[in-house]
Amino acid sequence: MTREEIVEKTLDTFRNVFGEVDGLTEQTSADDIGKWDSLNHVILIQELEKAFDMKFDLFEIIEIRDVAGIVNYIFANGK
Amino acid sequence: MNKSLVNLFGFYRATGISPSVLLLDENGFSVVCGEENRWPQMVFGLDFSENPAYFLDQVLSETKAQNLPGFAVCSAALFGSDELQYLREKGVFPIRTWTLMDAVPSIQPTKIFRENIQIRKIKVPAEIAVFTNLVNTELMQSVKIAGSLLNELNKTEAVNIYGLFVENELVSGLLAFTEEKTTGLYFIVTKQQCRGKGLASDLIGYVLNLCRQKSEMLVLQAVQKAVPLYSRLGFSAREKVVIFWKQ
Repeated sequence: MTREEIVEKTLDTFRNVFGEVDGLTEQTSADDIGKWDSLNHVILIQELEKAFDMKFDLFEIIEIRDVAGIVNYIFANGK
Repeated sequence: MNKSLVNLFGFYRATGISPSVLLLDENGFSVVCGEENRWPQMVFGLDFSENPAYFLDQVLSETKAQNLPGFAVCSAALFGSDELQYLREKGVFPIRTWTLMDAVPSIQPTKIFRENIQIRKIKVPAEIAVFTNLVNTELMQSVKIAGSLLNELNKTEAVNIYGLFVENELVSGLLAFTEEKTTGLYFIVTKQQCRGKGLASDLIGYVLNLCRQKSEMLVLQAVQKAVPLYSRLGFSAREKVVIFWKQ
């Protein structure tokens, strides 16, 4: 999967979890999405795992709070 | 037991002022539950000797059954990939990690205070309100801390709140909680527009100096990105702790 495909799929997953987010891009961070708190982050992780059919290292992924960081993680660790 | 965890536990016990404090020390767990809408409401895992994942799930299931928030703070070192997988199957997920750091307060602060900066203890309710707003805006997510709680805590001997003012505006602050000759620094916060200027370093340096007489140890919990900053101020990383939550 190319990085661009990962970005698209990641943004789709964000929309599924948080609904429509104004100006959602790779640069978006938890500061920009009010609903992106610790508990919703768990739901986001579960949805991303389903979307990309992979298991994340939970201790690593819980500290990533921006779209670009998540994309980079999936790009580095995905299938 | 790690002094950082002891202080953290004491701090939460103090901030979770409530008649419903339940101790399960014989199992190595202490459960702290605040009244509804008070902060924080957590379960603390302090000592797991065997099968920590099973034990953690049991405790979180029990607290959930009692309609208490199912959060637990534990040492991250207890949980390898097998344990995390087990917990995941039980709906228990890590949601945050911190690094516990400590310092002996004889370390000299490296910063020199600047002329337009004033650092002092915050006492009056109006200033506490500004500090509370700063904490809630810059640090807290869905759970906010009440100004009345900080006011209440600030009247106790254990708690001191310090603020850094630039031209009389409070732009950085922290809460120091002292118990058994250990002081923990919590709610270390700097207004977003004022970050990256060394203000928090100035503030912590000031508190390090103040605590030299009454505390043998200073502790704090750092998010990963702040570890280098605190290391420069003389703090050493001791261990990583993790908050677990049961869905």
